[in-house]
Amino acid sequence: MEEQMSRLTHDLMAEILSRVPYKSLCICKCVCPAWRDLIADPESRKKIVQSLAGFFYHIPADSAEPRGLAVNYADLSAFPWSSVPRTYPRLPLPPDSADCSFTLKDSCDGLFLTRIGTGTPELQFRYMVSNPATDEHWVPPVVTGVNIYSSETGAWVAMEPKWDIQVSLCGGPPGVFHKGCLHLLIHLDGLAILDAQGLNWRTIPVPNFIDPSFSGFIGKSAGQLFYINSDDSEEGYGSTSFSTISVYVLSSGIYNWDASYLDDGCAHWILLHKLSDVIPKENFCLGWDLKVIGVHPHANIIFMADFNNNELLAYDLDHRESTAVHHIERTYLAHEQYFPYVPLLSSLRLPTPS
Amino acid sequence: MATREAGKKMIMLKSPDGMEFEVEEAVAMESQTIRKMIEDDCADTAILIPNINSKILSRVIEYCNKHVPTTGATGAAASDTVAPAALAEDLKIWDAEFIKVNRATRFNLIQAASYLNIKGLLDLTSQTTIDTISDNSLEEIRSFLSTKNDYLPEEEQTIRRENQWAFQ
Repeated sequence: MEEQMSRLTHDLMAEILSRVPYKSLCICKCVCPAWRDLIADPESRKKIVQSLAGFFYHIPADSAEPRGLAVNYADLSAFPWSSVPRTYPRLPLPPDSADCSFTLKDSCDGLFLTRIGTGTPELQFRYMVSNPATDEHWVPPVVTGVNIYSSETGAWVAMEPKWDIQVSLCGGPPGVFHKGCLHLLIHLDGLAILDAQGLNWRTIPVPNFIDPSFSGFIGKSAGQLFYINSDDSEEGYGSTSFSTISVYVLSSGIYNWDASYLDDGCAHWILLHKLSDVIPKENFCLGWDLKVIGVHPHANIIFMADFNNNELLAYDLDHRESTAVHHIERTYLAHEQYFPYVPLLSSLRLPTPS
Repeated sequence: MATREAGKKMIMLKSPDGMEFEVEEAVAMESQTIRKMIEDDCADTAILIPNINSKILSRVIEYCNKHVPTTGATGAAASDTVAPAALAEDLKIWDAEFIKVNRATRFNLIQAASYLNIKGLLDLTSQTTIDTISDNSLEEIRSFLSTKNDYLPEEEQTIRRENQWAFQ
């Protein structure tokens, strides 16, 4: 009865490992060299869960290569919580886009949404969905207003917004797709939630009632939606006093659409950490000197752009320590968006709209 | 094993150790591999299932019998009087009993489920292995799955250091 596991073929082992959560997968690498090699094998990697590889971020347009996106890539593959060997992913571009301008607008689960500007003098826009891991791209039809695009049917459905208040999206962090719902930070009122079918719409306040458009961040990690912001509202923005950062998760009760609306939406937020040691010995103000740009999807790590030292920081929530993980040119830092990259190695199989 | 019922098309499955199993076509078609053979008209006579002995094959058929959609095909309790949720709950309890097997049988069932392409059975049989991996320490994983650790000491030190964050 020795060596039973090794009787299973590589394919079958990969099949089993494809169902194992990422953190356990890292323990599996330590079981034996055969498992380590299997997890690193390019074929099995297509099945196995991937984790954060790096961030794309905007750079000034004049720094862009000709016919390229004005984005840089912060490669984090050297760190143990990354899942990939060193890569230089590039966002694929449509072949007919010689005189176009591109702006990265959103990213989710390894797919990127890019706005393509065409025509002079009057700019027209279309959008592109692309996957750098497979070099695929796809241009859905142009729409305006609230529309929901289904990759199952390949069609947009126009929606009349059914939020109970006038919603104004803030230009902050990208929206987060989690538990079948899109989550968006909105001006003044907090968080807007909308399910993929467009049946359920809800807005809830974020903790402390600070306008999240300034320094608020949403992201998902370990199956939970995170909200990260400063709690020092009474000091006022631009205050030079030492600032703290609070990390909250959203309780899953919010997705119980039938439940009557709770008066205090903040009851749905659970405070996980209140951090005062993110940058030791330095004063900072979240939103000015420091900006939260990401959460690791599996490890207990949050990522920040440090404007004073021109660095991307990884802050380990378990050990409460910061590590500089990437150097960024100062001119690139200022209030730009960062888009996490988790490779999606399987093919998009995008439908052709009828 | 399935019994012959009037009007039901039957399929003969043969294990390499010479045992024959007569099953309803609908039950056999829970296996995508067999479904394809039937649809491609390759199943006129008995279908030989290589690499799966009669003991394992009979367990696989038992699983398919239970999981075939209950449109009267299994002759199970009148499904229209039972709520779908209750039916699913019943299946879950049945599955939990079904998978109480020793490790060798479980690995054989994983192989069979993979070859015959029965997704539900592959999910079920893999899950116990995944639970072992997800809930236990490195040493427990190695001992439970009888996997030999052939890392050199310094190799193991390196890989453990690299993945230290996952052990916390």
